[in-house]
Amino acid sequence: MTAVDEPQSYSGTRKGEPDKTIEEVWAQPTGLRWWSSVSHRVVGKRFIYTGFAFFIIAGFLALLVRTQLIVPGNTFLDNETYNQVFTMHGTLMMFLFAIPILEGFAVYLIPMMLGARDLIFPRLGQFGYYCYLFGGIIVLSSFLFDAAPDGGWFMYVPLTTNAFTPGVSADFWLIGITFAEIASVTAAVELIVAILCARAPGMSLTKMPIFAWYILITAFMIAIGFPPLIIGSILLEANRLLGLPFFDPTVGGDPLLWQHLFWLFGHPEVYIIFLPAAGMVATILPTFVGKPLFGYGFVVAAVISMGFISFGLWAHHMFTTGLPILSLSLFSAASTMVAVPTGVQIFAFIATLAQGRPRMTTPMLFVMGFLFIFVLGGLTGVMLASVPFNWQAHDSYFVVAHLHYVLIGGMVFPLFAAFYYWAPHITGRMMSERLGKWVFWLMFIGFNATFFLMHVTGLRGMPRRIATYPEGIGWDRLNLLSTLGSYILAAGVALFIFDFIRHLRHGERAGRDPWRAGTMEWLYPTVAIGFNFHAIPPVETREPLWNNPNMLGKNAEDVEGVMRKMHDGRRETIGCDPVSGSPVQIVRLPHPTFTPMFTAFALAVAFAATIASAYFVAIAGIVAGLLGFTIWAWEPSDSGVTRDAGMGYVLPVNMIEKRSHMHIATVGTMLVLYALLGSLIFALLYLWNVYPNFAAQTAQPNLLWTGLSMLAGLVLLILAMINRRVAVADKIGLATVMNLAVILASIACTACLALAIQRTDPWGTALGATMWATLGFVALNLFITLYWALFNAARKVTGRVGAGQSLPDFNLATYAKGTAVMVLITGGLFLAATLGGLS
Amino acid sequence: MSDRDRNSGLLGTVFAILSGVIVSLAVGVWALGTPGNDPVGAAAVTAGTFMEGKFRWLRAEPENVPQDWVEISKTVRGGDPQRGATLIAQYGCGSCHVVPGVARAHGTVGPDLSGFRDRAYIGGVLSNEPGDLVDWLMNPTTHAPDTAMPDLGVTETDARHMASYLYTLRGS
Amino acid sequence: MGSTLDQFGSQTTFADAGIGAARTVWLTNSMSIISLVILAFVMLVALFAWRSTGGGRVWWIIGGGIVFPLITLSVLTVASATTLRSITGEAQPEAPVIEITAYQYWWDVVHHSEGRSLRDANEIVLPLNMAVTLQLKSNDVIHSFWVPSVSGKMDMIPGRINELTITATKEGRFRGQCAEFCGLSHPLMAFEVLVLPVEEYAAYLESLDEDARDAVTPQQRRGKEVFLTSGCTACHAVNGVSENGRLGPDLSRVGARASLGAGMWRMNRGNLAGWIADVGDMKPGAQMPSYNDLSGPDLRAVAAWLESLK
Repeated sequence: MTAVDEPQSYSGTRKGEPDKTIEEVWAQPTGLRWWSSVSHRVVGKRFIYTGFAFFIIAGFLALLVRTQLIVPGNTFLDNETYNQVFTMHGTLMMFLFAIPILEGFAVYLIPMMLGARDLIFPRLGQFGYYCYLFGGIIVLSSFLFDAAPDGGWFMYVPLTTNAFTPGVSADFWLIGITFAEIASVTAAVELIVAILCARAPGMSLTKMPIFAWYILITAFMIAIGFPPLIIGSILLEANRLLGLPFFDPTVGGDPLLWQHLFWLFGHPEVYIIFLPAAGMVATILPTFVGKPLFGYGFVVAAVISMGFISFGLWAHHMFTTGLPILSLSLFSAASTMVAVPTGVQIFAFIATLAQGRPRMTTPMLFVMGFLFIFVLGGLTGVMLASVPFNWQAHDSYFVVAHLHYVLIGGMVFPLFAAFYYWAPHITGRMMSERLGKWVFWLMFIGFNATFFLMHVTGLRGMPRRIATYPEGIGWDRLNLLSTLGSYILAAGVALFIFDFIRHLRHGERAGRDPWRAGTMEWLYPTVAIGFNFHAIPPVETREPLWNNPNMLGKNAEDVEGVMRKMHDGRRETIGCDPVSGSPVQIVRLPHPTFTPMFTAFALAVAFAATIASAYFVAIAGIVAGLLGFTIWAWEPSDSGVTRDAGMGYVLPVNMIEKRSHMHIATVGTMLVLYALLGSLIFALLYLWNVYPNFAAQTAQPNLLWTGLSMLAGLVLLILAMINRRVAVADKIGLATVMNLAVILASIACTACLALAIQRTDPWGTALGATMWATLGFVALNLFITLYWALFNAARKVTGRVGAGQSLPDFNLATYAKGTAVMVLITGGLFLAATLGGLS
Repeated sequence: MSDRDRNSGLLGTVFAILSGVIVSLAVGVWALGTPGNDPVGAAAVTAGTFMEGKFRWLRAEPENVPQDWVEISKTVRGGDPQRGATLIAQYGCGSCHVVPGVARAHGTVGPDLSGFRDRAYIGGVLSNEPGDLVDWLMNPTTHAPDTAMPDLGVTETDARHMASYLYTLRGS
Repeated sequence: MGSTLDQFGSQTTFADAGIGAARTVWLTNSMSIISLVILAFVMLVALFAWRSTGGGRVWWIIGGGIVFPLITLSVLTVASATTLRSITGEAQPEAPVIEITAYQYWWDVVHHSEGRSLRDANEIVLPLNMAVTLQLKSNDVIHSFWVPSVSGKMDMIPGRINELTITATKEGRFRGQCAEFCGLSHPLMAFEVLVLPVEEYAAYLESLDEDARDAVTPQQRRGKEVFLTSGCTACHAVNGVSENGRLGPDLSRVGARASLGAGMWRMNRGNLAGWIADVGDMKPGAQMPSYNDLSGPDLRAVAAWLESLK
C-alpha cells in the first residue's frame, strides 16, 4: 500500500471538521449538551457515581433491617415494610450497585489501559447508562407509589404471581430490573468488542493488563449469564399480565422452573461480581509491591476456568428442593471445584506479595482486608457445598454471613481499594491516607462484628428474612452485636464519603503516575485529556510504564505512536487483530449525540407504561424507540477509504471483514440471543421432562407447517449467504434485491412457525405457553432481520451507500444466518414434539 | 525502612491481632451465653451500683426532703417489676394490649397500656390504685361482667409483680 | 412440659435430638475448625510473603491453589457423601407416614396410621427412635420444613411431594420454623415438635381418633355454641362437633398444644381471646378474619371452651 496523504474523495461519508484540532474535535459538550456526551470517561464516571448512590440507598436499607433486628419482637418496622426493605436492599445491591459500578470502572479504565481513545461503541455506552438510570428510577419509584417489591430479591414463584402478590409491586421489580439488565448486557457486548478490537499496536492477548482479562471473561459471563433471568422475568411478567401458566403445577408448569432460571443466572452473577473486583486487586497489588503480577498465565487460566465452572453449579442453591440424591452429590462435588481456580488466584496474589517490599497504603489495606474476608467467605462456601450441612444452613443466617463475606469481601473491599487507587486519576487529587486508614479499620471491624457472629446465629437455627424473632431462644445477643457492628461499618462508609467530598477541594494534587503504577492509564498527568492519547504508543509488555523508559521519560503528548495525524477531523482510534493486537483498521467513533438518550427514554416510557397498564403509551414508546435506533443507524457509512495511521501503517477505515469490530459485535449479540433462546429451550425440555403427562395433553405441532418452516429457515440461511457475497462484491442493486428476498423469507419463517403450533393453546398447558414464548422470541429475531434488511435496502435505494460500504449488509448476513439457524432449531424441536411424544 | 522499624511494625501487628482476638473472644463468650448466665452483665451491674453510691454521696442531698406521696401511693408491696414484665409476656397480655417494654406486646383488642401509671380508672370501673389493680388482674370479670378480658387465673403474687411493672409505665 | 418459646437452644443445629442433626453436627464442627485453620494458615503465608522479598514460587500456586484444595475437597466430598447416605439411608418401607401440608402461615399435619388419616395442626408429634417418613406438600406458595435440632430442612413446593425421613432420638420439645420466605407473616410461621416414647405416641394417635372433650361448665357450653353459630366451623374442624372445616387448623385438641398461632404464642386463655378478636394484628396476612363483633362474655366463652379441648 502507498501512503495516502490527501483524503480520498468518496460519496456519502460524513466529512467531519478538517480545520479543527484534535482537542476541538474531542471537546466535551458543555451546558445542556453535557448530557449528550458519549465519552467513555464521562459515561464510566456516571456509572460509578450512580452505582455508588444506589450503594448508599441500599446500605441505608440494610441499616433499617439491622435496626429492626436489634431486639426480639421489635416493632420498628412492620412485616410489610421489613419485607420491602430487605427485598430492595438485595435488589439494589445486586442489580443496581454491584454490576453497574464494576462495569463503570471497566468502561472508564479499559480504553486507557489498552490504548484506545474511547470505548468502541460510545453511543451504546450512553444508551446503556440511560437504560440503567431509568430502570433504577423505575425500581426506586415504587416506594413513591407505596408499591415497593416485597417478594425477595429472588422473586420466587408462586409467591410473586398475581394470586399472592396482587397489585404492581412485582411488576416494578420485573420490568425495572429487566430494563436495567439491558444496560448490563449492552455494556458486556461493548466491553468484549472493545477489548478484542481496540488495543494498542502490538498488544497481543497475552500482553494485556490482567484487568482486561478479568473484564473480558466477566463480559462473556454477563452475555451468557443474564439471559436466563431476562427470560425468567419475561415469562413471569407474561404470567402476571396475560395469565400464561408457566409456573402453575395444575397445568404442567413448575415453580422450580423459575428457580432453575433464576440460579442459572444467579450463580454466575456471584462470579460476575467477584471477577472484576479481583481484577482490581490484581492491578493494585503489583503497583504497591513494585513487581509484576506473579503467575499471570495461572491467573488467566484460573479466571477462564472459573467462567466455565460457574455455569455448572446453579443447583447448589436448590439443595433443599428435593433433587435426587445423585444430582445432589454431583452438584456438590462440582461446587467445591470452584475452590481450585479461586485458590490459584489467591496464591498468585500472595506470591506477588513476596516479590518485593510492599508499601502499606490505604488501597493495600483494603486489598489485605479482601484477602482475609474473601478467603473465609470462600471456605464457608465450600462448607455449604456439603449437602448434609447445606440442609441445615440453607436459608439460615449462616448463608447471610457467607454471602456477605463473599460479596463484601470479594467486591466491596476491592472496590474501596479501587476508589482510593483511582481517585487521583478521576479527580486529580489524592484522598487522605490518614482518614483512609480509619475508613478501613472501621469497615473491617464493623464488617466482621456484623457478619462473623451471623454464622453462629444461623447455626443456632435463625432463618433468613424474618422481621421478628422470639426472645430467649439464643439469638438475642448475637443480633444485638451484629446490629452494633453494622453501625460501625456504616460509620466507615460515612467517613469515606466525607473524605471523598473533602478531597475534591482540599486533597493534595496528584502528580503524574502518583502510585508509580505500570499500566497505561497513568501515562498522562491527572486529570488526563479527554481523548486519552495524542498518539497511541505501541505496547510490548504488560507494564509499559515500567518497561518502556520512553513512556514516562518524556511529556505524555510527545510519546510516539500511531494515529497522531488526524485526517478528516473525525474522532477515531486504532482497531486491531483480536489475538495478535497488530493494527488492522482505523475505527471512526461518533461525536456527542442525544439519540441514544432519546431511545433509552422512549423505551423507559414503554416499560413504565406497561407497569401502569397504559398499553397505547407503551406501544408509542416502542415505536419511538425503534425510530431512535433507526436515526442512530441511518448515518453515512465510514467504510471504503484507507488512511495513513503513521508508523508505517496504512489502514482501511471501518474495514469490511470478519475481524471488523461491527462484525464481532454482531457475533457477540448473537451469543446473547442464543443464550436467550437456550433458556427458552431449557424451559421447554424441563417442563416436558418433569410433567410428561401434561406434555401429552398439549396439542402437537402440525407436521406440514413444521416441515415448511424448516424449509423456509434453510432458504433464509442460503439467502443470507448470497446477500453477503453480493454485498461484498459491491453489487449494490443486486444486494438490494437480496435484502428484499431476506425480508420475504423472514415473513415466511414466522408464518410457518406460527401455523405449525396454531392448535396449541398457550393457556391450556405450561408447555404450550412455553412453545408460544419460544415462537415469540424467534419471531422477534425474524422481525429484527426483516427491519434491518428493509433499512439496508432503503439506504441503498436512497443512494446513501457508496462503493466499498457494504458493512451493514455484511453484518446483516451474519445476523440473518443466526436467525435462520434459530428457525431450524425451533422447527427441529417442533418436529421432535410431533414425532416423539406430544399427542 | 530500617529493620528496627520493620520489627516494631511486626510487633505492633502481633499486638493488634492479639488484642483483637482477646476482645473478640470476650464478646463472643458473652454473645453465646444463655440469658440467665451473664458474668459480664452482672459485673457491670455491680460496678454501676457502686458508682451510683459514690455519686449519691457526692451530691449529698439534705436528709429531710418532703416525702413523695404520689410515688408511695403507686408502690405495690412485694412486687418486682422485672419479674412482672416476664409474667406479662407469659400470660399473653400482649395479644390484646400494647405494653411498652414487653416484646411482641402490640395488641389492639384492649386499651394501650402506655403511661398506665397516669390513668384514672382501670377498665373504666376501678380507680387506679395498687390494691384495685391487683384485684382486677386476678378477676376482671367480677368487676366488669361484660368485659372481653378473660380471667387468666393470675395468682396474687403474680398480679403484684405485674402491677408493679405497669406502674413503671409513665406518660410522656 | 412448657412451650419451646423462650426455651434457650430449642431451635439450634448444635443438637442431637435426631439422626439428621446429630450426624451433621460433627461435619459442622470439623469443617468450621478446618476452615479457621486454613484461614489462619493463608494469613500466615501472606504475612510471610509480605515480609519476604525473595519472590514467589510457582509451587505455591500449584501447591496452595491446586493440590491442597483438591486433596481437602476430595476428603470433604467423601465425608459429606457418606454422611448424606447415612442420613437418607434410613428410609424404611414400613415407617409411619406423616403428611404435612404448609399453608400461609400454618401447618396441617395428617398422621397415616392403620389406614386412618388422623388430623392435627401446628404441632408434630414424633415417636422416639423410630424412622418416620414426612410427606411435605404446600397448598399455596413455597415453604420449607425445618426442625434444626432434629433434622435438616426440606422445601414444600406446590405441585410436588418431597419426602424427608427423620428419626428423633431424644424426648422433648423442639422448635421448628418455616425456612423459605413465604410472605407477610413468614416470621410468624413456626411449629413445635413433640417427641414421645412409642407407647405414648400410640396413645396420642388414638386421642386424635376420639371425639373432642365435652363442654363441662356453662361458660364452655356457651363457648361451643358461639363457635357453632359464628361461622368458625366453615374453616375449623373439631372432632365430634363439626368435622368439615379444612381451610384452617384442626382444633380438636387445640388446648393441648403448648403454643398458639403456629408456634408463636403461649397457649392460654388470654392469647386465645386476643387471637380471636384481632388475628389481623397478631398475624398480618393470615386468612382468618378478626372476630371483633363478639360480645365480651362470648369472646371469653369461646376462648375458655377452646382452651378446654385437650
